[in-house]
Amino acid sequence: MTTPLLQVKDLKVHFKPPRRGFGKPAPVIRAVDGISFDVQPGQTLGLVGESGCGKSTTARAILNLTGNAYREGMIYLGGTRIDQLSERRMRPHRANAQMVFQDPFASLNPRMTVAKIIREPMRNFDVGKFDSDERLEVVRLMELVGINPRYMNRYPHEFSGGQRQRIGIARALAVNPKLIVCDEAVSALDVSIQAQVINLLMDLQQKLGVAYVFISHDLAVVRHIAHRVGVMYLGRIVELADADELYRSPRHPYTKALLSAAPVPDPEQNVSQKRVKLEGEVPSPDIEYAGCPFAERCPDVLPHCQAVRPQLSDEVHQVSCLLYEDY
Amino acid sequence: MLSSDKPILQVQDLQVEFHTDSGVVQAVNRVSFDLYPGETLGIVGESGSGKSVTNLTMMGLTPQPPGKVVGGSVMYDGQELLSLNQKQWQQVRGKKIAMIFQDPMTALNPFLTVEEQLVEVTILHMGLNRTEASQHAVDLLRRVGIPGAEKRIRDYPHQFSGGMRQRVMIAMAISCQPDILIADEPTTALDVTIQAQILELMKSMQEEFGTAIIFITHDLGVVANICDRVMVMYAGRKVELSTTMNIFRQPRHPYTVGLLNSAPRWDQGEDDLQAIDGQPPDLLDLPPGCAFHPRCPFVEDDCLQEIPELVSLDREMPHQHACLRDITTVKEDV
Repeated sequence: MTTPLLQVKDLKVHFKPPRRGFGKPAPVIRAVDGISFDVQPGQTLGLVGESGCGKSTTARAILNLTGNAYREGMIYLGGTRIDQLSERRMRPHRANAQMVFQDPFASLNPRMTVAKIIREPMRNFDVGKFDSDERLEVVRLMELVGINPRYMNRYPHEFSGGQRQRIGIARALAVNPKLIVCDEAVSALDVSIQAQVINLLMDLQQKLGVAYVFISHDLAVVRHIAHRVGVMYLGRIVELADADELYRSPRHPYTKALLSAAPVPDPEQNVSQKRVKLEGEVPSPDIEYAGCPFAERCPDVLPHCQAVRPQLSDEVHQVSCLLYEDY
Repeated sequence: MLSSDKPILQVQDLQVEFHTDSGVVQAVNRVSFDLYPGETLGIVGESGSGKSVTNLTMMGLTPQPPGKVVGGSVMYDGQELLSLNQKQWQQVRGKKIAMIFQDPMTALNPFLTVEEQLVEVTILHMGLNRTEASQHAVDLLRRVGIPGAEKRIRDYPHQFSGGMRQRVMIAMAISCQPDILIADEPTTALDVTIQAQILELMKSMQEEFGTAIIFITHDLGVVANICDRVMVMYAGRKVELSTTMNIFRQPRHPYTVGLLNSAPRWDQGEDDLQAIDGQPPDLLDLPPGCAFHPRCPFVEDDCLQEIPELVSLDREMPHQHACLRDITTVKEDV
């Protein structure tokens, strides 16, 4: 195995909400509570989970964008430890890791033309030396993401949602990053356009060898794009495996429940699909669990699940559940 | 359930326009369909396909102006809904036809407790007194699966989670046992496990009360799960309508085929997604002929000339589609 492009070890991100009035201090939100994973060059790691599971916080933490939140653990990008770097020393590494956001309406500056939007990161990181280089580069990037370079002097509002997302991808690619973190990058798009953007991301990976951390709540989308998939629940990774393996033979009870709740666009399949019914909702992430955080909703709960914290196993198909530990 | 032969709602040639600064948008263009008691009709389409405007119009809620109902009819129980005045609408809305929205936080009043909002409906429509209405409201909350209903009823909407809020919306919608429930993307904002709970709840409510449901969504997985029949809309028009099984097994409109091929499935990972080329049309500047022709793999010259009429191929299985090609025969050589 090659050296991983990105290594995350025991990452924790905790938010301390500001004190309100004279009341008790608000409890700490354990958004990410001890997760580890690797991303290989040119590969895609998918992170799935429901709202509040910590997947977006993970995305931000990878890029050192969690601000003042309390953070623990180590993040290596291309072999360099980046989690303790100051903003200034982080800067050169930012060219290696870029981000594509969910909302293509909010993430592009409405006052900049497309050419300017794509050129900005190049200037920031001195990619193109001359104006003429930059122009050619903008044309190349626009063609790469399937937008006619004729439109380079238009503004974001003149484009549809799918096209804007393509512009966001072109901007991310402008500095030749080795890693792009996509946070719900196709979730706001209509199905037919979503498929176009997924195919584009996969093509770009083939052509440029860029790696993705692809964060989504949509299990089907993640299966299509990811090589490895991690399932998150309450700030932890409960299962991490190769995509086909995970979807074909899920092991963690939460993964099973999640998959069985996801409807399939096939009326016959839906009738035959066995459902693991999950009662209740995801509890608030401000509680510290001694044992498995899923224990109280788990259909396969064992007597000691509430007390013993399961560890992510060390195999290729990693699972964090006492059912699979010799206990 | 397609057994009952008399539709409870008949929509005929509905036409809704929006007058904007840049021109007139035909948001809904001669759309017709029937809704039968106890069935779930799915309406599928992408942004701008007219699915939400169709349903707002049936509730008398089209914003006018800029919206304008230009033609057509919506018959409910022998009554023409489009000619009702505001006062008459109030007798129908909430009582006979109820609606649940995508975002319960904006649909519920943040200043009123859930009790006040639930009680308002039943006092107005069912003539209950305050005590009866409160009791009824607690029953409803219990029915939609809210734990500790007696206490929770005095909470404000922001004290509920997204899934619980949607349950409150459903409780409110079914409080007068409406004949028709219009659900506009009711589970889109919810997590999958919560979505599964809400779909389950809607099914059991339908079985109990025999409500007809119009379910608007862009999620084909949800359609396959809950709908009996499906209407597919594109650029304001109905392009296909059939049973759910037909739509998924023998789609006849190229747009429906494209939608099905571009929907990723978590239970199949191997095939590439076949996206539909191009962009959805600009409603201010629709292409001539069939609005789908610039994106259609089956396009021929006549597609640019005429707007295809809806045709039914099979008398036994009502299956309407609006396409000049018969894609079931040409499929192989494309």
